[in-house]
Parts: sequence; structure tokens; C-alpha cells
Amino acid sequence: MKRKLLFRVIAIVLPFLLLGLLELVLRWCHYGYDPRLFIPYPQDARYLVFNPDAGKRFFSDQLLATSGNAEPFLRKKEDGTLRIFVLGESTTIGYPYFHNGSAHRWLQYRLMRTFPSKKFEIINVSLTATNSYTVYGFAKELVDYEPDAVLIYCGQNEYYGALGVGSTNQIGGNPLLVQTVLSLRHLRLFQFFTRAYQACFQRASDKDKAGKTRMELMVGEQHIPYGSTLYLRGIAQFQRNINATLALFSDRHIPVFLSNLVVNEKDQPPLSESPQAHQYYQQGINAYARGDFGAAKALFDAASDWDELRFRAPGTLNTLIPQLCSAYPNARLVDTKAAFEGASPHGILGRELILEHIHPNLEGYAYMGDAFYRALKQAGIFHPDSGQELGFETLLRDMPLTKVDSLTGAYKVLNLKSSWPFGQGLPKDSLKLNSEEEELAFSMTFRHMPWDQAMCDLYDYYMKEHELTEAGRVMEALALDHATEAAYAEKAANIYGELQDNEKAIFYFQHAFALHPSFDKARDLFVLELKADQPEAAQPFLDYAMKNNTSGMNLEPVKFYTNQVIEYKKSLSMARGDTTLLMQIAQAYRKMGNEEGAHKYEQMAAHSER
Amino acid sequence: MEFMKDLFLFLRTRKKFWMLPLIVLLLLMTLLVILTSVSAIAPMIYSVF
Repeated sequence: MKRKLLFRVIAIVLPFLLLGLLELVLRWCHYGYDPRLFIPYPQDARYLVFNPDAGKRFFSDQLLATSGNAEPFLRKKEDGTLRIFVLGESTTIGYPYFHNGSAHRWLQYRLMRTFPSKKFEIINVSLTATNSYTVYGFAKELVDYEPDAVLIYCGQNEYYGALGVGSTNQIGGNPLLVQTVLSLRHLRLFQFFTRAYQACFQRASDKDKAGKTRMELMVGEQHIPYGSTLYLRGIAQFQRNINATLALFSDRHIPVFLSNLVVNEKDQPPLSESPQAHQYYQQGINAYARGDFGAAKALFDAASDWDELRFRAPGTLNTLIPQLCSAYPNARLVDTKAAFEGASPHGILGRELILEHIHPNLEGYAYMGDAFYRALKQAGIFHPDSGQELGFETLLRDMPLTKVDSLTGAYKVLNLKSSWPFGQGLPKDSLKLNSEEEELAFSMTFRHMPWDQAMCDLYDYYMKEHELTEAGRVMEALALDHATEAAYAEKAANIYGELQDNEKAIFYFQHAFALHPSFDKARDLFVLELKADQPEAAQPFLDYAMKNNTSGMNLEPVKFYTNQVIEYKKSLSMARGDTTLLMQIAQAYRKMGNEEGAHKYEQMAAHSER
Repeated sequence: MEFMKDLFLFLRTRKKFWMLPLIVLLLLMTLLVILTSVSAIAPMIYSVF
């Protein structure tokens, strides 16, 4: 009897064992994809990087899955490093510019310039075509990677994004089923079943769709009327997922910064044919024309809400976001919307800052980055000195963006607008390409030229044309995009050295030195610091160069006179304008060969005597 | 050896004990695969080029 019971138990357990064994075999054969959020960085084992396959589990059809940025960060976080993760969708990753156009790169550049000696790791794990399900899914994994802050911009893809209520009608409204499927997609066995199903049935159905575009196929099903069940389910989905995300960060005491959303109000007519939406939009246009801007804004917002093609977030989400933030002490609202309104005529958002329905232009991304910067500063994540801080105007001037970045964005939007649901752009054949920048932007947009290659070609072109300032900007762009590679930063430093821009040369040499210290970089740095009359700043690099002297140069006299200058300057701070001290500093600088420093103090002495 | 032989005989004669859970599991997985087979399409307009 006992043996019979044992056999029954074994018989029931057996299929589970068989499936487990199959799972192990599939993993052993490297079948399917690895769904982990981060994987070891192939070029350097000390780093981790966003897994290009991490988004696959959110997409039923793997061919449609998107991949994101590759921004390596140290596996073992170094002391003093500020590590920030960024979660969201296409706007968060900087569509249509990507790379340095996105808000997080504006933030990164500003932080790097404001705190040149501090280490920042800003890792963007956003994906196009995803929504709050992906944000929550990724949040669950990234809490284990020691974030100092998490930034979120999400809500525009709630209906049609991966697993959204408008994309997967069968389970989109059922969070339990969605979470079950997301968990199961970690299993290679489930991945195997999905592929097998798609191979058997979806190819057949694809034949039925021949001759129609994807957009045409879905348009009939995707109209979501204002206030309908599906509309409300989309809002509930956002609320549930973002609430769970904030609760997760709250439990781990991680500061989280959630932004409200911006949409094109004035210059984007409704994308659907909804008569109500078009009526509101026309009334908005009329109100704007007669100068009734308050009414115009309300009417434009109503037009967006009544637009049945929900490519723009419903206005309700901007009411929900502050409520969600206020429920958690570690969550803070980032008021991007107010920043955009402040920079738009009459506070109504339009083409001044937004390219099409939702994606900001480069200036818009600058404002978004600024909104996050101010929120982080207000929360005490960093504390800049007022003299040290890179102001917004300087940021707009200095941000390393090229003409190619700007043109690529313009071409991509033109291409986007030529198809459904816009249907108003120009065909690519109509573009006239008269410059190297236009040629490269066109190649990036339509011929799949990688950004890195376009930048390298652009750099070569500017060097050939002796346009050193532009070449420096390109090299800065590459250094920002490859924040862990010293070579680009060193090249940028050399160009700015040639341009006699010592401030930027020092900044990039410091950055390169921090990543990969060497005698040459240390020598360049102490020379530049002494030229800039910063002997204290020169000291550590001088010490490093002396300890790692590979050149045979005698640096003892430089060290001796540097110490002398430091002492004289201390005395000078107590006896301002003392001519003897000024001349002593000038002599010390001259003896070490620093003519610029000597000249500066000789002039000061002459001025003081007068 | 005797034990394994008896177990094998048991499994061969009482197929429902191990086949039923297996079929249920496979059916459940298939159902979930079918339910999630409609993919997000619309926002792909941002990444197709």
C-alpha cells in the first residue's frame, strides 16, 4: 500500500521533473534569450551594461522587441560615486536624437561640468515602445544595484506600448496574468513554446496581412474613446504599476523622481477622426487667435483627451502623478510640464519645444534635463557651490551636440510624419543634401549608419577643413556618449589645449586621468593647472608624475617652485597687492618655465605700484 | 532494481497519473502563449528606422 502511494507521488512529480530537465537542457544549449536587466560588459569585465535582450520578455514577438543604451557602470560601486538610473520610454531615451540629445545626457553633462572631480554614473534603461509594465519590471531588478536616485518619465505609451491595454487586448487588462506571463518568460521552456507557436500559426496569419501596413491593420481596433472601459483600464494600469514601483523604492529607501508629462497641445491636431476632438481643437485655434489663451489651453487639452488614437498620455495622468508622489516620502514630483509651459508662448505647449505629438526637440530635452536637475538639487542629492554651478544658459551653449544630431532628429521626424497616423511629411527623396552634415544625417536616418561612425566621419571632415572648434565639439560628444573611455576625453582635451581653452582642456584631461591615469596625462594636467595659476590643483598631478616618471625629466625644480608659489600666495592673501610678493611669485613661475603665470604676476605688480 | 521495474510498470499502466499534470501544464502554457500573441505594434513607428 505504501509502495503504491509512493509510486503515485513519483508519477505526479515526474512531469515537473521532466520539464525541469528540459529547461536545464535548453539553458545548457544557450537556447532563447537571457532576460536579466544587466549583463557583464563584453569589453571590460569590471563593468556591467544594460542587456540588449532585457526588453524581450515584454514583447510577444521578439522581432518587435527594442533595445536601449549601452552605458557601462562599475560592477562594484566606488565610494563617492553618484549612481542614477533612468526609467521610461521613447521620450526618456531621447527619441528621435538618442545619444546626447536625451534629457539624461543634458543632466549628465551639467553634473560633470559642475562637479569635475566627482564620479557620476547615469544609466538609462528606457526602451521605446514600452510603458509602466517595463518600468515596474526593471525597477524590481535595479534596486539591487545601489542606486542613489531613480528618475522616471513614463505614461505616453500606456495604451499601445508593450502589454498595454490597447496592444494585448486579451490579457492587457489583467495585471495578474501579465505578471504571470512576464515571470514565465524568464523560462527557456516558455520561450520555446512561444517560438513554436509563432512558427506554426503566426506565419500563416501574416500571409493574410500581405499588402497592408502594420498601421493599417491595427487602426480599426485601436480607437479608444474618451471615458470608455479601455480608456479607464489604461489609467488604472498606469496607476497600479507606478504605485507598485514607488512602493518598491520606498521599501528600499531609494529617492525616486517622477516627472509629469508633456504633450503637444497647440500644433498637433487630433490623430483620429473623432469629430468631438476636432471640434475642440478648432475652437482652441479660434480662442488662441482672439487672444483668449486660458480657454485655448483648456480646449487644446480637451482635444487631446478626446483624440481616440491614444499616442498622447491622457491629461488625467498629470493629475495622478502628484498624488502618487505625495503617497511616498522618498518620491518627488519633477515638474517638467511647468518648465515647458514657462518656456512656451502663453504657457501653451507647441512646436517651439515639441517636434510632433509628444517628443521634445533639443531645447525641450534641455528643459526636461533642467527640471530633473533642479528636483535632484532641491532634494539634496548634490550640493553645488553657486560659483561652481554650470548655469542653464551656459549649458545650452556648451552642450556637445552637433549639426548632424539636430538634422538626424529632423529627418527622423519627417519620415515619421510621412506615415500613419500623421501622413503629412515629405518623402525622403525630396531632401536636398548640400553639406557633409546633411549627408551624414541622411545616412544615419535612412541607411542605418551607426552614430559613432557618423561622428568619427564628421570629426575627420572638420579636421580636414581645419574647423577645430567644431572638431572639438564632436570629440566632446563622443566623450560624453562613451563616458568610461579615456581616449575620447584625452583627444577632446588635446583639441581644447590647441584652441587655448585651458578650462575645457583641464576638464577633459581630468576626466581621462580619472579613467586611465598615466604620466603623460598627469604632466599635461600639472602644466595646464600651473598655467591657469592653480598650483594647489597642480600638486596631485605633479606628485603622480614624479612617482610614475617614465620620461626621465627632472621634475624636482617644478615641485620646489610650485611649493614656493603656494607659500607666497598664502602670504599674499594676508597682504593684498604686496609688490614684493607678486614679483616673487612671478620669478618662481619664470624659473619653472611658466611664462604665462610669470607675466600675470608681473602685470599685477606693475598695476599695484601705480 | 526490483523497485525501478515495478515503478516502470506502474507508470506504463497508470498513464493518467503523470500524463494528466503534463498535459494540464502544457495546455496552460499554450493558452498563455496564445493570449499574449497579439503584440504591441503602434509605438514601433519610433524604432523602425
